[in-house]
Amino acid sequence: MKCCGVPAVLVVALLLCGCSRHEAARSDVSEAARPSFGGDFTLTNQNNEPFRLDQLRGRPAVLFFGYTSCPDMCPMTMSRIAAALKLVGEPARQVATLFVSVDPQRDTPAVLKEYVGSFSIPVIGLTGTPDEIARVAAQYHASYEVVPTGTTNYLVNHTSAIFLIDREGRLRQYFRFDEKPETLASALRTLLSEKP
Amino acid sequence: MIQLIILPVVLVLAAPAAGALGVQAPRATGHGIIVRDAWVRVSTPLRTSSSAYCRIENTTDAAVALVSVTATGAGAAEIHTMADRDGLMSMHPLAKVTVPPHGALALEPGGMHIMLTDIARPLTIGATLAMQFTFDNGRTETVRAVVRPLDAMSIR
Repeated sequence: MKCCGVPAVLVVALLLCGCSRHEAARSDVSEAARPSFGGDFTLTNQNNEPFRLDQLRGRPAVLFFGYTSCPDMCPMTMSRIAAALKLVGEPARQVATLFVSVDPQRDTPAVLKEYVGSFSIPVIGLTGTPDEIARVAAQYHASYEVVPTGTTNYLVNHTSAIFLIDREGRLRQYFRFDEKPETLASALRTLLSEKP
Repeated sequence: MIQLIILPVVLVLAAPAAGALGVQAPRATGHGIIVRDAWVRVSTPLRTSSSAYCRIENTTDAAVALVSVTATGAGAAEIHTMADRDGLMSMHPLAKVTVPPHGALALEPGGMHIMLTDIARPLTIGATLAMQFTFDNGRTETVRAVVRPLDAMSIR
């Protein structure tokens, strides 16, 4: 989990053309609309154990990239996810919520553990080496960049999308971070209705 | 206008009860600036940054700008706004934010907020944090921001 100092500006090179950002919300979770990226990965969870997405097989998941020092947007995103899960009700207990840190410098498993424990829903916090994080971000066409301040209180610009992953571990859709909980809930119901 | 005139009196009387209910009593100064509904997200020993929100009302005939904020026990408090660059979210400090005459400004999740860093003692849910808001007319308002859960979206 150790990494070298904060790079002046770290930009995850987006691997595929200009379609790497998530410009628009897409609410269609049909098979036909399935994005061609995403996929399995291995990171380290808040208990300092390896976590592989494939472990969830059979459960839909909600994933987003953020960092624990994120003052506003990450808690807001989590709030919207929690609201969506509440709308879904009892079946939402099957849904895993994954928070992937784009700030491995500060977000150790111990920090993540404290962070995810502050939310009203169960959350799996994930971190890794800078290279591991960069690989997962590239898989999901997510980008991030550290904004240096010369202190430990730097900010991290990052992709704000909320990713929905189906029971088979396939990325099914992504949404804006400020998507209405009702829209997220509807998409989650669709994924939950699919046979494990 | 009636409401504006009687507001300070009502606030003084209501303040203790409002605090007990976890609802931030507005601070009316008598000179036209009201900072109300201040709240802040919980912090922890390892996560020493947070964000604070409030509503600022200007009942005067002139624009007034918020130019600085301090919070007791926080190393720094900055006014921030968010920007969306093709889905890449970033935050930027603002030197000031203006409240129009007879207008209001909402600092709320997803928009402008006060970013707090190096919080010396963890902010625990239900506690309050003293914050000072300084305006370009030389006035400083002190409010007590209510500490809310990490995923709260408002003071209530």
